[in-house]
Amino acid sequence: MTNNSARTRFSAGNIITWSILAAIIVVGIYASFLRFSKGLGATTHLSDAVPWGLWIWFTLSRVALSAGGFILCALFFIFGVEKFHPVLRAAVLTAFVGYALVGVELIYDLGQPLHFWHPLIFWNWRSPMLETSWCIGTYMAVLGLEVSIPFTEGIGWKRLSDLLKKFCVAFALAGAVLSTLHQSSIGTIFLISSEKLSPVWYSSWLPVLFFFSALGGGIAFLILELFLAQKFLNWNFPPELVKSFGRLLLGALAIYLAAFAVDFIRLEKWSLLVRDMNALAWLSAELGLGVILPMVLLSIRDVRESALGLRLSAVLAVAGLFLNRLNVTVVGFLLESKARYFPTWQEVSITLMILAIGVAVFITAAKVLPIFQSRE
Amino acid sequence: MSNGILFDSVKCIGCGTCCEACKGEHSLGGDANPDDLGADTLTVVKEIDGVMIRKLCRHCLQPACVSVCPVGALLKLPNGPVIYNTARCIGCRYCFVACPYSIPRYEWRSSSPRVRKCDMCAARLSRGEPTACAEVCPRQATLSGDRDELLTAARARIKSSPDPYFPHVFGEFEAGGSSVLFIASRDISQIGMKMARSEKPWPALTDLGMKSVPPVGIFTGTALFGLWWTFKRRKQVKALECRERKPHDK
Repeated sequence: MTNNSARTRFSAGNIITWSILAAIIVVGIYASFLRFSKGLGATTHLSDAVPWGLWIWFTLSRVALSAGGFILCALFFIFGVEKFHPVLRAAVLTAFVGYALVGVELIYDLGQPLHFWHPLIFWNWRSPMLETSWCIGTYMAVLGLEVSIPFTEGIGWKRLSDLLKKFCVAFALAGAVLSTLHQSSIGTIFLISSEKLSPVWYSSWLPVLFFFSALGGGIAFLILELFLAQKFLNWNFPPELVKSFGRLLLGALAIYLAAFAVDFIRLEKWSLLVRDMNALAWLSAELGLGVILPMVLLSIRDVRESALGLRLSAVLAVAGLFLNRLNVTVVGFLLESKARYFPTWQEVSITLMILAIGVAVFITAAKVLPIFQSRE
Repeated sequence: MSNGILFDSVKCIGCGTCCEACKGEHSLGGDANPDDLGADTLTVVKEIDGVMIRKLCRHCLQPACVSVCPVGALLKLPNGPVIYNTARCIGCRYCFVACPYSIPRYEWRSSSPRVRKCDMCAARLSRGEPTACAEVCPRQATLSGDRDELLTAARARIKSSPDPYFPHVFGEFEAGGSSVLFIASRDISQIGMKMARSEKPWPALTDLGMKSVPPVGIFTGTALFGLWWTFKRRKQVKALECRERKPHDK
């Protein structure tokens, strides 16, 4: 095994990957310098008409995509589904890295980045944003404790890691409650935008839809991370788990589609779509490509149980989650206000930098720490 | 007393004195004759389709911006104005997303930007003076005073000469009502003046979601705890049964 990992570490593919990540990060650092020295107006295409753009879209999407951590912890520690044990730590690591970068990314978007800590001491509990920030902050602390288990194990503090392990069920419970609350409250944030967000996406059920779509998105993103680990970390995706993840993703997408359909019928949204071809196109992309197509793929047994089929379905589901959040945070507003928005290179490169840091941290942590249990 | 502003579009001649007075009162530079609200322009008078329109913060009776601001940087004062506290603001711009009238403006050019909007001359009101815009208006097209009295005055103007006026006081009920009221010769919501269609106070939209946070949290926590206990117990029972059965198998 040592032999193997040494070979992977210096292979040409790895060198290329790390060079690309490094290049993205260097450009991102330069863009960050511009962003913080010159301000939002000089470096973004945000405006009074489009106050939230690429960064908020990407951040809110990634909160949903980091849901895999709480889902797997709940399945394993609370529901006692033991087959997910080999990837439990990877799921927690994905969530931890995801949320940590969400925090970093939000600071870029704040007009007063130095005031980022104000929600700690100035409270308006009527604001869904304050509630969301607190839930995310607390959940990050829980994730920090969960990640400490492989970390303390890795550096040989056995007694501390054994102590932390005793609280795993409590961590899983806290994580599930906090995640249910903030994943749905991010939907609540947009409830205030009645008459501004296109009625095609506006619904009093947004909190419920955000929660259910985060389940599918979180599982799909975790699947992609596991395939990434298979490629870079000398770890093999057990065929048994491929089957389980396929069924899990199919179930989560089905729950979301059902909730979406009931809401769609309840609000008679089809009448809106007949009048608005743009909205129809965006919604079909989101739903057709990101929910229905992966569901069709996953319901074919041979596809579901093959690594390629699962990977393809997960890619589609992640894209669907990104598209859904794009429609709710940006497109749905632009269609109503007729304003225009396209991000600047600084906005794009900072987003890519965050993503690159996430991948780099995940790969490094997974290599250094005892994350993938099959390696032990 | 809750202060308000009444803008009578029929009496307005579009001289722009109110906008100049506003810039003077708030020491604002920028374009002397701007087309729209901006970081240096808290109010603007425009003629659209022969109708004078004045844009400014409506100072909602139940403001969405105040209810959604995570750090309480926006506040509705008991005497009417919705004011902004730069020292608290984190710059998330949720108030921009929330405002049903799309009023707030940002200092996009600054590296430390503030939210800008009309503050109904809160400082002047506290001294018992009228707003700067009302004080200088040569035609009494903008009035400052008690909202209830302004509402009575607005209705009286519509009633005394029903011919030029559209029979509606804009801002009386929209989005739960606002401190700023408009009367005009036509339905201004049809000619580029953004009015809320719903009469429900905006904060109610998110209040329902926020009120369900504690019960959802408690329910999820209890249910998951119960499930954990059940699954654990079931496993224990199964293990016991297996152990009991083994001797018989032999």
